[in-house]
Amino acid sequence: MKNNRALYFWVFVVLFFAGLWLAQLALKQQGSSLLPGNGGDFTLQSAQGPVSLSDFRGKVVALYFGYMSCPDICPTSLWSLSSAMRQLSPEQVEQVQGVFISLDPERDSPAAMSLFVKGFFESFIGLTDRQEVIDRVARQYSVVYQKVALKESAMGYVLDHSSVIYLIDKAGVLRYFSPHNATPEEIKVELLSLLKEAD
Amino acid sequence: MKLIYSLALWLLAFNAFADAAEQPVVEIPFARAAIIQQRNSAVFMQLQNPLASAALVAARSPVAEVVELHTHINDQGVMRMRKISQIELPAGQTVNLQPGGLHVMLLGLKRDLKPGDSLELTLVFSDGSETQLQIPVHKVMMHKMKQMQEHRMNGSLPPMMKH
Repeated sequence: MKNNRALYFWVFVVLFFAGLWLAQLALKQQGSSLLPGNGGDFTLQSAQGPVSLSDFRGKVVALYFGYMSCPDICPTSLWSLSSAMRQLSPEQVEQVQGVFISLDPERDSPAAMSLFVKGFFESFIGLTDRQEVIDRVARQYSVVYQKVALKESAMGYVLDHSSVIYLIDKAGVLRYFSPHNATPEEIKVELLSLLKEAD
Repeated sequence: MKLIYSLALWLLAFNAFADAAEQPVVEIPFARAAIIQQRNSAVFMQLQNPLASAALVAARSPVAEVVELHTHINDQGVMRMRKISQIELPAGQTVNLQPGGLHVMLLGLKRDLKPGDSLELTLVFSDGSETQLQIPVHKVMMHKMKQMQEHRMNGSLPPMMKH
């Protein structure tokens, strides 16, 4: 009899937590379908190993999705972001993390990306991963992109992509996105307003 | 840097005279700095065509395996880069090859393009004539900033969007 009671108790405990877990899962899924592209945490690979967005809690994160063979659009955006950061004080710069995510893992290795982004700003990091992982993160941030074969070009293929700098606050919440061609001054204003907020 | 730039401009002007203004005139050309791992870079310039209509049909450079003519289409915020067969140069007009639009695409870089470097580029026009240029490599795009300001004054760019 006593044994039976203990068994019931444990079955109850296990079912209770399983229920909680399921409810949370359902809520999460509902949340993501209600608010598509609302950002959120992710883990991707850098030249120094895995990096998560949550590693930068307490910092403002500027996020950009692109690819290294992109000769113009991506460098322009990274240049605008780095120019904005050069207008900040050294203390403020420490509080901002620039992140470039490659949509082209086939061509962009983490090591090459690290070299590439540091050419714009020393503290920038480049992240990539398997295609399906990148696809998931891109969906989180509503990145529109598509691999397109260019038959007559030596490029082989290009990636059509939306060009947006996402600004994430110190708590990891996606707050702003700037259109392509935002000036460094405009980006700086948005960075400063997020920097002013308490940790 | 300024000295190199003005020297390059003088050379260009001199070239234009030497060719008796037969060819389109190239102004403020620059290549975007890139590392070899990026594989590619782009060259931008203004092409002024004082005479009969012509077209830029090809380009060559010893720093790249292949050189192509490309454009960008901004399709509701999605940038689509495409190869084109030629860039039309209507008589009496200036055509801008600029960031976000038309460009000479350097594919398969053979070396890093460092700011302050220069590279050789040959433009081939529809009448078969060629112009050889020394293109300075820039990291920062001064005249891009000017263009952005102009766009803004025309109100053709949206302001920052709040999420």
